[in-house]
Amino acid sequence: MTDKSQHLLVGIDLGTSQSAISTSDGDRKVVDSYVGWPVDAVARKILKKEVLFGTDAVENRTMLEVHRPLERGLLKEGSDKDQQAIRELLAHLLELAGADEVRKKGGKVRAVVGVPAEALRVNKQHVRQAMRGLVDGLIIVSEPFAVAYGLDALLHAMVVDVGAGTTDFCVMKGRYPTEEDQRTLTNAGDWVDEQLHTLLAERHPGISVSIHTVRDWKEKHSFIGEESGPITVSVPIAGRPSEIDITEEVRQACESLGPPVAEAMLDLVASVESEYQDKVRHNVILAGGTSRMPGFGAYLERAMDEYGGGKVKVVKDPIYVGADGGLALAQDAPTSDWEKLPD
Amino acid sequence: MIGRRRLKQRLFEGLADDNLELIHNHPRGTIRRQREALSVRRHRTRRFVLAGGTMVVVALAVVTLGIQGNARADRTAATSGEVAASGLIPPPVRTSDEPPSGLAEVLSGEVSHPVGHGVIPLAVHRVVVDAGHGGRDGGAVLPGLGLREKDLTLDIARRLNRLLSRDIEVVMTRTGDDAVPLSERTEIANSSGADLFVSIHVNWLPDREARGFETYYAGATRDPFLEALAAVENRDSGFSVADSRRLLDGIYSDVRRQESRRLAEWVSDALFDTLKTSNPQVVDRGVMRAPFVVLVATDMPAVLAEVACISNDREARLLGLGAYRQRIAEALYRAISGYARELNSSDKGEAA
Repeated sequence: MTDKSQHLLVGIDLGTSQSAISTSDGDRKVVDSYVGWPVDAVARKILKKEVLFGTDAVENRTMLEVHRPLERGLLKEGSDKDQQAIRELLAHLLELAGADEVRKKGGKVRAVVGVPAEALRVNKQHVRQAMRGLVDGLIIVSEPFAVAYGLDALLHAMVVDVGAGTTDFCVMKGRYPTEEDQRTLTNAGDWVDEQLHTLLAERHPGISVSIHTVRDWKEKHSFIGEESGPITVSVPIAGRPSEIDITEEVRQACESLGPPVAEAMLDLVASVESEYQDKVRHNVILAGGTSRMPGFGAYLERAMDEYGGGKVKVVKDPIYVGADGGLALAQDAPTSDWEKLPD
Repeated sequence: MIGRRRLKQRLFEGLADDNLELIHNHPRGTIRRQREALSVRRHRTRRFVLAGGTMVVVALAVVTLGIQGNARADRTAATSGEVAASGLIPPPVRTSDEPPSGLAEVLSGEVSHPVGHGVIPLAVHRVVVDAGHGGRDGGAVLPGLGLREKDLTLDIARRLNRLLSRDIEVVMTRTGDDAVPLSERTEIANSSGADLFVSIHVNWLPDREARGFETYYAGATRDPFLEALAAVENRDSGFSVADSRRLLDGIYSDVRRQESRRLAEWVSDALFDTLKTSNPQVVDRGVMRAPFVVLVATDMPAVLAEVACISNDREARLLGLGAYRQRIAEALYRAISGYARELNSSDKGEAA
């Protein structure tokens, strides 16, 4: 048996846009969830790597076969390459966190991996398969539950985790959330990107802009409610560099996210026993990368006004809140709760 | 208002159920629904008992709940009583270390890691090793391969005895093919003043694809299947109704239960770590509570390990190999020494 003091515990938030890891050694890393393989020998020679991750993969995408394995928060089915990508991504995160070194020294690595609230069983099985040989112990957990646990919001609270691929809802009733305690919408950050892309194409028919560029614009300028000033960007239209104002398109795209999220939130509140609904409404936690959108929390609070009011707290560190929650779970989990994975 | 500690415990129970359902591919919520159904049954039983004013019935309900229950496992039919009675008694298990043809690759290239002397600290002086079943009670039987649980458990127990007795005193509940009632086994353990009790069994599961090992410590389970399993293992226990109160006290003795759980976790870890090289598909089916009489009626930390599934064809073949049974014995030895080491260091820490 190994010395238990050598164990490394990690929490992993496997996200559509970014994946983060937090470790019991106090280390935290994040990578964009892109994996790219050189398309040919020439590309491999230039890049000098067998596989690239995150921004490296995006920046060199012309020489790579790039995969973003978690579309809409779920592993794409039926694609061996995407399954390989998810394994590469997990291996990369664990390597960044020093897990390989721990295992080489005979220590054990145990990971709590957060997945979307309503992830399909087949997706969870893919994650289990992907983790074989990478860690010694595994617990798969609903991502919003991990967030709630990390923030110690265990009772009469709701997490609204707005990521890139999915928006996950989880109401905490003092038990591990069941299916009826959770919701997942595919209206999330990527959906806003698509809306913005479509709106811009409709308004400027000759516009030539990639979804990556649109995503960058959204991340810089997104808002719900009052804009802080006009948003102008440079973009080729019919081949000619042009300066355009996209304020209205950004507003429309971002605000289109509000109604479905508010509706699902209120629907879930209604499922709580009536005497606790007020407590839950006043303890809504807005997490996930898209929670940084200015005005989003206030929008959700306004949506609760006619139901007796509510309070939305936006998490301070949306990038790591899920991974930190996973780590908190890993640190508290009884030894017998871990699934032991063979090499 | 529910306490923080209890709240977290409840959350982890749910999380563990969710992961178990994933691992075993059960529909989501299956385990929770079973728990809830059982909770209703137990609540009804408690009300009935309190109305009748007799605690003895409570004890019987907890210890033997499921004996007449509709959840009686398919295992019942597969255990050896019926098979043995049918005249299909196979020859004793081969104890050769030579792998049979076709399975050599399983153990090829793998060197058994001998365990060192003197690694068990003084915190543990005496261990009772209990080879499950024996005599007329053959346990699970696989006639095709000539395997009987009673022979396999005895062989593993003997191997474990050889490893342990280099450092400490070992008490075997049986050394041959003897029928030893469960009450006598626990009496042997309690009268010997042993520090630990380790009972060795081999599993039979209705799902022939299921494989791996399970580790139990004493406790009232919420799983109807485990209660049925305990009922089967507790048959002919030799305990009277008058003993039942003491048995209940045994289940709910918190300190001993915590230590038993800790030992069970060591056993589970060691079995996985040791067996995965010979049996890469080995599955840790979990550390669980169950009211097995040998766990409930013993006074020291006690565990029962179902070390493999004889109902799984591949594991049955592995169990037929002396080398694999040696791995199991080594794993149990490592678990006992690891537990003892941890106990020793925590004692020192507390003393400091």
